[in-house]
Amino acid sequence: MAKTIWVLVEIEDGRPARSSLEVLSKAAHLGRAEAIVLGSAAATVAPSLGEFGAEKVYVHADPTYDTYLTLPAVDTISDLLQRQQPDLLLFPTTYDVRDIAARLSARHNLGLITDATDLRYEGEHLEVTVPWGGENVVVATHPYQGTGIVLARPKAFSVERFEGRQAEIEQLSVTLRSESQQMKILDRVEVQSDGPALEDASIIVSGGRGLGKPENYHLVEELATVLGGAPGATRAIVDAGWLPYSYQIGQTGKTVKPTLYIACGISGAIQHLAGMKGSKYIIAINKDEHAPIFSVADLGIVGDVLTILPQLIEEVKRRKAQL
Amino acid sequence: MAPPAISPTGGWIGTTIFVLVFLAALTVFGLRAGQLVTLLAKARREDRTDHLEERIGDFLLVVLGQSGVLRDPIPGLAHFFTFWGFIIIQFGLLNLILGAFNGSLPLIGHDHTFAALLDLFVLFVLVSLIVFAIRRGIVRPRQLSSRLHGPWDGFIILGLIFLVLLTLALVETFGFAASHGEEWSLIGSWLGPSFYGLGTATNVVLYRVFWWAHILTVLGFLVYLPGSKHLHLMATPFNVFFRNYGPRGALPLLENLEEREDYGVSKAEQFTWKQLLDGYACTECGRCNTVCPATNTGKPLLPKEIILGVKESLLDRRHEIVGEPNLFQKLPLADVRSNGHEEIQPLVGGVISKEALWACTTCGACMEICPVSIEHVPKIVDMRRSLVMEESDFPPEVTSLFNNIERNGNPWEISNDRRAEWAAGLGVPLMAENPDAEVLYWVGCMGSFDQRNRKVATALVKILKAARVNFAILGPEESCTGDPARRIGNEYLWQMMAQQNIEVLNSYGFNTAQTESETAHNGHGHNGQTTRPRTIITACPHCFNTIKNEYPQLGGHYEVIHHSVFIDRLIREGRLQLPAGFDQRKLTYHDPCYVGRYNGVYDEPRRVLTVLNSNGVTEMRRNRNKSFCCGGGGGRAWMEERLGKRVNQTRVNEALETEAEVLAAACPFCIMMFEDGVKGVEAEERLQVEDIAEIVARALEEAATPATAHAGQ
Amino acid sequence: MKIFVCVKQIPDPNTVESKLDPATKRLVRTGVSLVLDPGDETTIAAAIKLRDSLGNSELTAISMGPASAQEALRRALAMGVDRAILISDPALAGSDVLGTARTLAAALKRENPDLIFCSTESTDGYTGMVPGAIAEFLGLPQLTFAREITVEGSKAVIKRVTQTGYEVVESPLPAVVTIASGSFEAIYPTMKGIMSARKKPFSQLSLSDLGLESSQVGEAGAREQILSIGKAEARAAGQIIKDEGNAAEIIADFLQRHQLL
Ligand SMILES: Cc1cc2nc3c(=O)[nH]c(=O)nc-3n(C[C@H](O)[C@H](O)[C@H](O)COP(=O)(O)OP(=O)(O)OC[C@H]3O[C@@H](n4cnc5c(N)ncnc54)[C@H](O)[C@@H]3O)c2cc1C
Ligand code: SF4
Ligand code: SF4
Repeated sequence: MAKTIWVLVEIEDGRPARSSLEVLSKAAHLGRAEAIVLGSAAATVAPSLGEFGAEKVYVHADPTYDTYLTLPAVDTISDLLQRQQPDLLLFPTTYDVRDIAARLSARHNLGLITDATDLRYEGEHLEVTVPWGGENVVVATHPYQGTGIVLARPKAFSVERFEGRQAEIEQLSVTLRSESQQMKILDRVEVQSDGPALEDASIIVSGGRGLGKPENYHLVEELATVLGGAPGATRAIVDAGWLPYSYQIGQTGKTVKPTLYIACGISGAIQHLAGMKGSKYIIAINKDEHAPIFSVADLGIVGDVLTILPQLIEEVKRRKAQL
Repeated sequence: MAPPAISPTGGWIGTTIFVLVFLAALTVFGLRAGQLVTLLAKARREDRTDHLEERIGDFLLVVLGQSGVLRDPIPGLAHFFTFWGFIIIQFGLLNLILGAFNGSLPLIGHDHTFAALLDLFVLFVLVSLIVFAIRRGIVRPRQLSSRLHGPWDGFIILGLIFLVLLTLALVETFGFAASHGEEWSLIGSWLGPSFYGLGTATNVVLYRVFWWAHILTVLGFLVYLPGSKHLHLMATPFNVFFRNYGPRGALPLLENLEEREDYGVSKAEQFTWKQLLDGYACTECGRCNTVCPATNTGKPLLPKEIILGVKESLLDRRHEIVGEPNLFQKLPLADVRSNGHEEIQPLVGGVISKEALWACTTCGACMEICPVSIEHVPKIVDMRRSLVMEESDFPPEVTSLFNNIERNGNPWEISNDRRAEWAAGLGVPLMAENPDAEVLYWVGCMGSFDQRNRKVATALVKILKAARVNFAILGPEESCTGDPARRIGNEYLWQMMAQQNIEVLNSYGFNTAQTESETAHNGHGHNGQTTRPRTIITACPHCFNTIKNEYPQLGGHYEVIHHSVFIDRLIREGRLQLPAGFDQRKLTYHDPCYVGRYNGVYDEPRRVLTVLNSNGVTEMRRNRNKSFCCGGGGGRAWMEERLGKRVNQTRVNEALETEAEVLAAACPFCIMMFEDGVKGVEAEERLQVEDIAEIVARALEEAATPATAHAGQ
Repeated sequence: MKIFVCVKQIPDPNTVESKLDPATKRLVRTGVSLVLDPGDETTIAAAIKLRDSLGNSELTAISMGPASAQEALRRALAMGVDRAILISDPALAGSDVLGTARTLAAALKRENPDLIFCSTESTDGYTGMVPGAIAEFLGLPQLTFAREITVEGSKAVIKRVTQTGYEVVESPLPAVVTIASGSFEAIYPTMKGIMSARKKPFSQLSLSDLGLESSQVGEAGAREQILSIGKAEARAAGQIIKDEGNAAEIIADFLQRHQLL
């Protein structure tokens, strides 16, 4: 029998969030995908979800969720869980959804697996792949009957179209409890910045003296922008006055541990390594094949940054457009 | 005890008045000076009575021979004569005082030779005074400015000395005139006869007037002295006598960490009496400022200000320290200005800024040059200790250093298990595999983990193998020595690391103070071998210094040799065959502070380089004990240099001035700083930074392939 | 106010590749250096700052773990925490998110806390589920991803980190707060801290003290099971490639393979 899988779909700027759609598509492959959409834009979003794999959509178009999602959402999904027993709640990993999943798990004693990069059913059993420590892969399952929760790692799955699929829409009629509305968002502040701060960025593109002159640093910034990351620098070019100190990565600058670090024209002095060695993946471009940076690189390219960077920026743009 | 020709007081009434004035002046002086001594008595104890014979010998040389100040010839000579003039004038003064009691000094009291000598010195001193005045008034060397005593103290002192001499000359002149030559003196014999015309009675009166003027000036001087920078006149001799005779590279141990109340110094009275005496003894000559790499590159650190700051803070708080002041103690001691603040400033972060404390590279140049043996670095580190261990207040970059040293045994986020990775494939045995190795090569964190310095380690291994030295390394059993932690002020962490390393070294029988049975018990695969003390060598001067000079404080006594010395020894013993003069590049050598100044090794590295290089060593402007720091010591290698010029670039520029192509160093931190400095001044094409071991290893390769030895020349 | 901070001891994330023992399928904790989770250091700093600004408040660190976790709590005490509680019981080994949260919640309940600090996520696992579960077990609201926190009367106000900036969120007390990593400068302990840490109150609790059954926690209570531990797609040891005009493609392939585009 096909498994029933619920997906909580978040709304961003009046549209379903990409991270939610990734998960929805995966759910549609695993079994019968049912989406839950909450918030004032829910009604407008709901009909489009069939196309992304939902067979059914639960809608509660109440503006309460817009100001504060977590506790009201937990109540609503809880309510739904009282009435029906899906096999799995498959959720994207986002700030709000993490909070919701944790509470649901505690309230209903549901098994919980996070950071999944893959999942499949082996007969009745769900098997989930979770990378651990960069090396081991753990395959886990919910050993008990009943519903389980799995949070999927962002970008683990791709968004797919299920042409012509129409989702059945069910309006939920729940009354939101007032004690779940004691939390208030008083203000939302957008911080003006061209990208994430170095400390928070999961991708960092960093440049060194190999760039030759300050005018070439824009290549680093451009690559950072197209990858959705932040630009950084070695002390050598900060010293030379190309950039302010806040860009400096290393022993006496910032220590960063992004998922991806691209070092462009950086020799890899120990003081620089001290600040970025902990990055998950390191790519280095340097024309000197003996440069110490290659000793920590997962991918090292011996070549000229000034030729490679413009090509890479174009290539990344091209591939992103295809996704 | 022949009586003077004329009684200067004119009878018992005058003499009584003189005695009263004299006693009053002495009392005020005593109270003022006594207060200074009481402050020392309230300070921490410290034993400075070791090496007594040497102390006495050096005392004679430095104080009486003035060998310290003579290093700077022109003001030095002036100072030399002022000093000796003063001593002789004291005897003259005594003679004059005895006159009030109708007496004189035995033997010399009426001796013409003495009188002539006295006057010659008076003249010398007058000339010297003019030199001083010109220096102070016209040349105005920056290092002479005084924060503590205002701009006038120097002039007041010069003025007083001038008055003393002037009145003395007048006393002599009228003494000669009044006694018609019976009271002989050189000056009197020149000037006295011109006053015969005034008549004897007038001359006697004038003689008495100037006698009083002279005595009162001298007494005034005495009363003024304890509050003046010329306090050093009295304190210097003691300071020189009590100077440090222990190893220069050893910072004082902070004992009993578990039960202490304080950790380091945040208030002046927490220093030891000797550290406070330094403040009294400082002559404010400012020589330390002229050599300090921090001062020279525009940092807010002036070593002289550290010494005076401690003194200022001590005097500021003297009532708190000593208790309720009596009337005389209320008299100002030094016009302490507390930097112009109304209320008393804290020592650290007030009188002395934190930035100044963090700017110090502990290079030791200030202590090396100070004519009166003042110890700057222990004070700076003591105050850093308080900041680190009491306030947890230090440059933020240092936190990861501390955490990493404590957790990983090295300064980075690298597992110490990987410490021997650099040696993979080089055939280097671990101590655990070769417990009877004669030589332990202590690699240090830089040699183990830094790509650049791994090359030095590899070169050193080549040398050891070529000389067939039976050696081993500790690998993962070796941990950071703790040196950077100690110099930054984290004594606790240093003691932790030192104890850990001492345990390992002892287990392999390296401790020279260890008995055989102790070693046997410690086992560690060391099959009951005889425990002949063996040698530890290292290419890191910081490891070298702390193991050699500081580990003994915790019971670890080892024979430790810096690799430059060891290589020199191997060459001289004929164990290394080197092609003489193979290197034709122009080369200069940088003395690492902890090899040179702190441990006196200057010749060995030069000898090695001279063998190899056909041009010998081209010296930089500042070399040997005047070497200018690379900027990496004292934990500075782990901190950002936010202010002023870069120290490392300053030194690299100095190397470039010699037009050398190679900057030879003998320290991993110097190498790191210079590699960075060379890039900073964009001199990569012109100047190569190499460790002495790398140069020797290349020579060995050259020797191994003689066919190419002279190719390309 | 009674403030609590939940902390955890983990294998040093900076030097130790965290590994699972293939036999027990648990985290390898022997033979590796164990430290207070660096994320928790930040959280402790936030809690201390708040305690000091409020005055008349007590800060307690609480941890569930083996006896070795004492060290982590000592470090917390050295940093300036007032009191520590360690929940240690052989039956707790192998606890999952719910088991851990249930245990911590049980211990917290006895203390009537006003405010409970947690790190947004521990550095070595769980991806941030414990705080929410604790809040649910205690029936408290949760304020997450805080980079700043103030308490006014019986309300807590935080600045909550978002993708594009922050939200100002208000909640009644008591509440659970999670601190975003890196928002506060960790405190390096002073000597006074280190020495006094040895004398500060330190209590140890077992399961029975908390009135929990061993079937509710530990491996017995876990709702998930590790089936197997496999090798990840072997992380190619640093490939160094000379650019022959196709470097951009090689890099883009790499990015795509690792889902970085
Ligand atoms: C106390 C102290 C603290 C320090 N702290 C830090 C710190 O926090 N962070 C830090 O980064 N550094 C720090 N440093 C400096 C560090 O030692 C190095 O000097 C610095 O990191 C070098 O920067 P770089 O790699 O940009 O320059 P370089 O070392 O000059 O490297 C430039 C590299 O670019 C390559 N290259 C040149 N042209 C090209 C080209 N066209 N295409 C491709 N590659 C090319 C070269 O082969 C070379 O490897 C510190 C130094 C000191 C002394
Ligand atoms: S040790 Fe060196 S850096 Fe420190 S004050 Fe003395 S001269 Fe300056
Ligand atoms: S400390 Fe020494 S060198 Fe410096 S001013 Fe004083 S006397 Fe001169």
